[in-house]
Amino acid sequence: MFTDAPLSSEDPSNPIFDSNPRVQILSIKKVTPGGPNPVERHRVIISDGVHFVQGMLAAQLNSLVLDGLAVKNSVVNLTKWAVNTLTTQQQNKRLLIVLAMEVVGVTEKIGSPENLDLKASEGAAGVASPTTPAEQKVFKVEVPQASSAPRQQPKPAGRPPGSTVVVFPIESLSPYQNKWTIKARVIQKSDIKHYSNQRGEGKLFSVTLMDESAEIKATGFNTVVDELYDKFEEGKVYEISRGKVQIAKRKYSNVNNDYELNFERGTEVREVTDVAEMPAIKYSFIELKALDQQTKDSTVDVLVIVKQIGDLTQVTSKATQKAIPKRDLTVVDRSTYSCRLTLWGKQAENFNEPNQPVIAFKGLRVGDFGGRTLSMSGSSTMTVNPDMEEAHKLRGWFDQEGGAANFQSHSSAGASAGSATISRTEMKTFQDVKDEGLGTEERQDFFTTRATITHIKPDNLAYPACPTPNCNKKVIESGYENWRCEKCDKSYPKPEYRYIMSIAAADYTTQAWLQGFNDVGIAVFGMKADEMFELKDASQDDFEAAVKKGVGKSFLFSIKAKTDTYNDTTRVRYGVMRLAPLDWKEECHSLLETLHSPYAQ
Amino acid sequence: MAQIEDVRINGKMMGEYVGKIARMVGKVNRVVDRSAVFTTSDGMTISVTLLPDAKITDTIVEFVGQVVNDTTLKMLAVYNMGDDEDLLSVVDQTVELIHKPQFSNMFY
Repeated sequence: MFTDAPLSSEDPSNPIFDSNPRVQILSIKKVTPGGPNPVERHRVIISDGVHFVQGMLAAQLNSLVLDGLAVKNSVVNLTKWAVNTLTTQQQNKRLLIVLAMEVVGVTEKIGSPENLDLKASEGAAGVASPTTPAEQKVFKVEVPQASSAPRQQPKPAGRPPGSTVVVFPIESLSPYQNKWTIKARVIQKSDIKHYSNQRGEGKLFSVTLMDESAEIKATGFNTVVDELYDKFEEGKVYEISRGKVQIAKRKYSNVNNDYELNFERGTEVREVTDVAEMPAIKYSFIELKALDQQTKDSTVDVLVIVKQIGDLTQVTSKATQKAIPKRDLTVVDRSTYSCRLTLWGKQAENFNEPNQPVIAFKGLRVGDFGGRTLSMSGSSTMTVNPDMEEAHKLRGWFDQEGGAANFQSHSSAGASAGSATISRTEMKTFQDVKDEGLGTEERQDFFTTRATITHIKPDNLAYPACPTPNCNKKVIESGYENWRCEKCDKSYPKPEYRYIMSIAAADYTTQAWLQGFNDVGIAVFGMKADEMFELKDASQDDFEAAVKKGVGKSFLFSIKAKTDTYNDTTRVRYGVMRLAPLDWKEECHSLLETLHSPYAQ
Repeated sequence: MAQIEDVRINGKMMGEYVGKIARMVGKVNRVVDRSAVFTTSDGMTISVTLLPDAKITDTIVEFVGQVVNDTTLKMLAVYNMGDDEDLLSVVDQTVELIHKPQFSNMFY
């Protein structure tokens, strides 16, 4: 019976599946798969008296075995069953999956059945009619064939003789299958990263693989890095087999797949040149305007213009104490929204794309740091000026109108002075701020407001600071023309003065005291702190006049409210993270908008 | 000089303020002899009778004048306001709002 064509077919409409063949179980073996919730399974050998095949009992039948109803040599009716095919390099193995059965009785072994699978003729293993990857599932469909005729099938074109490999779609990979081959394009390859944990040190690299069905992340550790790192090139297509399928560690990846691959010592990687069917990177772009509907930590793709490139800064990771280079970009798209996008590491250092390029980003992480931000992560990709219709359209739009358009921003005040932006949607008056008690609890609150300077405290306008870029620590004068910085461990003949000011500012509701740093001083006074000091030395009157000139100026302030304790007094301090001059037109539009809104009716 | 009460209006309101002093912001299209062809903030074209020493340097100006009829203003003073025509829509919206019942008591 097993040699009948239908056994080879998985077509559910085939009549044999309706019949309930009577077979004998020759052996039952318990198998406990690994994993978090191992369920006992039983491997069986099923015979029809002439041949036997390997099989598995579905978990729901476990009780039959445990209760002793199904034992070695039991004769059973298979009431519900299916066929799985496992393909390995040279072999075609079929498994009979028993979903339901009735035990009829027990008798001694009937006949001398032979292994059905060994009947496969040499070199002819594999699928008779390969379906296109898009339709393939884990179970392969074979064309029914005459019994006992040696199976032959056309070898898939382009394969080296002898190895007839069947390609699985990435979507079908699961930990239950360990013998698979995929053909995929590397859309992203990470750098080699070093790490150390309790077990010692190690290194790893990862790639993101993609075919028409899905994407998946694959990682190689330690020795595998040496073997495979150079084999992979971004953009090329490879056949990969004999890796381990594992549950995805979502913490380390934003690739959309429940599973991920682990490259091992035996993993085989072969570059493929016939890439006709391989799709290029697939994007599903989201408009920046829609970002606030995305939850934090979700993954998005965007197609944007880089309106502004920030400077390269260093951020010290609290976890590893390492300085990581970082660069913020301001990106915009046709939804007339702008957003902050952060690059890290080498990408930040090497980013140098002039002329406001169109960039397609894939796999960005959405953050909620002051509104919405976007961040490159380990598995994000960035393609500059991609050759796509939408990219060209975006370029055209920006060159025509976008350059001058006013963009609404998703990012409100951020924590670091360099990357805060002004957000109109989070404008508050000082009275609001005080009423709402912003900054009074443990955390910091950010808001934006439009206010006018009413008073500047003239004493203690600036402090001597370390001239090393980005240091800014106060330096101590330890001798004539000898100013020392503790942090950099360096001495300078002259410090660079940086503003630190107390400003009283008011809006139409009430007044507040703000703390401003160097950038605030420069905006208010129009000159650097060093110059202010020179002026002070030259003429006290001129100096006072210059200070007075700052009074009455209005700005948009981006403020961080935080509770501080200084010498026993606990106060809410309003630190100015960023200030911007008022664009009257924008302000008018904004006010008019409010007036036209239901608020004002 | 007595306190002159002037109202900010746009073109279509002129009919209601005939004989009164008004302020109008708009664009000067051209000057012909003693009058200017003027587009009001709401896009109407009217004629402004100019004073002999009227100094008009910018495209966008504000005229203070007496409303003669619904298409003529007799100028008393002029203020130059630059060349940014986007201002006109902002001004017009403001003028409309000023005259709305819920806001007008804030102004006049």
